[in-house]
Amino acid sequence: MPMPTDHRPGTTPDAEPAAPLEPAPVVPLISVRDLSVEYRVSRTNSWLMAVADVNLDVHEGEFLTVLGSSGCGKTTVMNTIAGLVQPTEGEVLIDGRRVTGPGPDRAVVFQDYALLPWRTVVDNIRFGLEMQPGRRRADWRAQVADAIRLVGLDGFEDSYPRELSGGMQQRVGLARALVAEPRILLMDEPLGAVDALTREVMRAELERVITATGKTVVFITHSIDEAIVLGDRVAVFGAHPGRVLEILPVDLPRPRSEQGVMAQPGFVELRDHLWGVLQGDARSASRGVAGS
Amino acid sequence: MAETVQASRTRPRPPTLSRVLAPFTWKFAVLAEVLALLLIWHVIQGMIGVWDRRFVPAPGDVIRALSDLYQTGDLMGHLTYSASNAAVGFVLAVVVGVPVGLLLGSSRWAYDIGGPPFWAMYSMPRIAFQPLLVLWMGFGSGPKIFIVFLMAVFPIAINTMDGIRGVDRSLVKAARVYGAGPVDVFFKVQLWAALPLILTGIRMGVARSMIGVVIGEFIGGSQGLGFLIYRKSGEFELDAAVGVTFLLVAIALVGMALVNLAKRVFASWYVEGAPQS
Amino acid sequence: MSASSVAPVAIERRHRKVPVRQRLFERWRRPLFAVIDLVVIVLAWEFVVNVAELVQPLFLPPPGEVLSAARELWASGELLANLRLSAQNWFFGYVAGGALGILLGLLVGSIATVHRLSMPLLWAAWATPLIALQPIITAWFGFGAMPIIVLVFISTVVPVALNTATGVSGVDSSLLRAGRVFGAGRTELYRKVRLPWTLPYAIGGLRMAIPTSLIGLLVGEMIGSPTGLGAMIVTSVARFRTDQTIAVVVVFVILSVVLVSLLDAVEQRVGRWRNSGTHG
Ligand SMILES: Nc1ncnc2c1ncn2[C@@H]1O[C@H](COP(=O)(O)OP(=O)(O)OP(=O)(O)O)[C@@H](O)[C@H]1O
Ligand SMILES: [Mg+2]
Repeated sequence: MPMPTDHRPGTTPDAEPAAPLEPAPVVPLISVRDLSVEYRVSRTNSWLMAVADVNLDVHEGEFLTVLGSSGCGKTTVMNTIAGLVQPTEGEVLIDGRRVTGPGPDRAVVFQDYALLPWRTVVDNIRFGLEMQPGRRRADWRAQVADAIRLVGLDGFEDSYPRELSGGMQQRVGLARALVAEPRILLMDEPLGAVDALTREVMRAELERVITATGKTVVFITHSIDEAIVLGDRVAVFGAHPGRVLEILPVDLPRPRSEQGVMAQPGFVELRDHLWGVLQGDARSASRGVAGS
Repeated sequence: MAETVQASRTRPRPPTLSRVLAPFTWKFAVLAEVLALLLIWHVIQGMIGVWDRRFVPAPGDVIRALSDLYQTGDLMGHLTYSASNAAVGFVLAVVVGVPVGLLLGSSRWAYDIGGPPFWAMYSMPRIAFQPLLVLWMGFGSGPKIFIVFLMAVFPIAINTMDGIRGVDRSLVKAARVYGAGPVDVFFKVQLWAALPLILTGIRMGVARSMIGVVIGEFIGGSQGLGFLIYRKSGEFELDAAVGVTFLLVAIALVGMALVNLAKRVFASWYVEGAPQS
Repeated sequence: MSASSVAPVAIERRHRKVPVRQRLFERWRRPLFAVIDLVVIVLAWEFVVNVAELVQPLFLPPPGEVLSAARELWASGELLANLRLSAQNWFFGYVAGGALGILLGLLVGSIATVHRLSMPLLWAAWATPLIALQPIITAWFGFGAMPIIVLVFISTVVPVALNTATGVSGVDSSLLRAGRVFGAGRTELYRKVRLPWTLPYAIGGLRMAIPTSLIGLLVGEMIGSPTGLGAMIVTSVARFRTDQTIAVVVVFVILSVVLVSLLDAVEQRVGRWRNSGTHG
């Protein structure tokens, strides 16, 4: 079983690991410990191991990006952190307390939007507020309006989800999450359905919003560039079963969303390294299929 | 600046006559078609008289017979009898069918236990029981109401079941993430999401309950529109029989149109399958 | 086969079997519950009629009596004779209705204008109680087999035509475009794209027509016919032989279930490409 390693490209495992820029807080905010999740496959009447022995720490205020091939269990890990999926083995701790279900400290931006089709944009964004008893009704309107402005959906307040493009729906999902004011934002490919240009804009916007609010973020993406641009650290997942191959810090200066960053040697080096890791995993996976 | 530009995108365009009428064009065409068919019928039977008009009445005969029935006061009596039986049976079917569908659709245990008798009842031709129902419940309204109920309850329950099963799982997940408990998930997510299919089931229930009305009055009946059709045919007053049949059809169509209207009001967000080309 | 050291381990970890006892229960829980249901219902029936005597056997005969009535009807040949008549009437009406329904559906679905003009009428016909026509049909065709066959025919035509028309008119336009790109002419396009696409819909219509056609058959036989299963139901009730009534109803139910599952099987077979992967 390959152990998750925590080293940067260019350093050999036996060399001294480089000191992080800032000393990390001692207790991680999110701590995933020896997590395994199995799904029941009713058709074959067996269990499918979606992720195996995942260990992952995310610290307060940190932006962790998760990279991995399709179907490798990223959403599963995120759902476990959200409390939507129960671990088969291991556990998830938030602030040292075990997660047993969803809570107001966590909000999710779903890969498939998950907007209620009978609610308008405004009412969808309001949903999280409705469900939290502590929130004052009088403030709802202003909070929702702020969120709508933030994600750039002004003018579409009363549209239904079916009247919006995929990218716009995803922004509604993002606004819904932001309005709930969670400590932890779990984002599952939130820019997946957005066109390249809007993607750049929203990436910059996200970086700004997140750094301004100091939220802790777990962010799933398929894009290596996005993982580097947004992440304080990048966790690379391997497939079959899903597991952490490597976690590596990104110490490039922020803000990174401009074009210039991608030309920096540090960026290129990181990208090449991540590319290699992903490719190695893909190769071993395809060999596994051929050999079975 | 940018805001006003965006906002204007969702503002409706000014209505012109052709734009207002556009969605109705084909409805007008269908209406014209129906009128044309009536006209052809009138020409063939009313004017030329290809067949014996006692057997194949002309449109004029049918209208005359209906108005005669109306004037003698017969029609309204039969109509209210049929309508009230249908209404009671149908409301019963909704009141029973929706909860049963919700239960069978949301609990695996309920489905495994209640499913077999449910599907067995569904797959049998329930009208075969009508003579037995008459034996059990007598010649009054009882068996008529009950057969309407039996006919209407299954499409309602089945569609409700499908509706509650088909609720997008990720919607439920999202609701739970934002703090919804089981009660909120049921009332704010599942019930809403199932509503379009529930209403579809209710619409089918309307159609089926008309079959129930007819059967109930054909077998062991002495009143109602179905009985009227039966009696008038037996007396070879086919103009009246055809007229009452048309009336029955019209009632079924109006009932379904009403449910469609409800669907458009309460589930306007719902887009039906692929758009018709 | 010597693969790398990592992959086989990963594959092995991927699937874990459910414990045998649980797996057996999961596999058999549906049929198990169905059997339990059946036993409970028969016992309750027996209890209500014979033990607690809550209902007079005249109204609801106990299961044993129904069974002996069935045997008696079978032995006298009465059941078989009427079954044969019913089957004949149903078969003629259904086959004719199915054939005409498919033709009508192809016609309606293939021509856009006809489609738009006729679909509302077909839908209306589907929604209306067609069996209300029974007395009128009897007046036209007299007593005997003919009105029954016509009623079955009408009850079959409408759903078959409706479904077939929906199928033809809904052919994926990109498929048609692709066909044209590869040089298919009009007739070839029809034969190679439209018809295969429509086939499962037509079968679906035939499947939908089973219950409606059986209702047509029953109504035709229960009202104004001295023969057939429907007539047996009515006359046995009139003679207070409810044991016979229920026996005949059960035969009828078995018949309809067999027909429905037959067409379900055909539908599954023919429509496999439509729902590959999702069902299991
Ligand atoms: N509800 C479920 N039931 C059964 N298997 C599931 C379920 N959800 C996910 N899986 C399986 O678990 C594995 C991991 O799925 P997951 O959705 O976590 O992948 P992912 O990394 O998010 O993929 P993607 O990048 O495509 O979104 C897949 O092989 C998938 O088939
Ligand atoms: Mg995913």
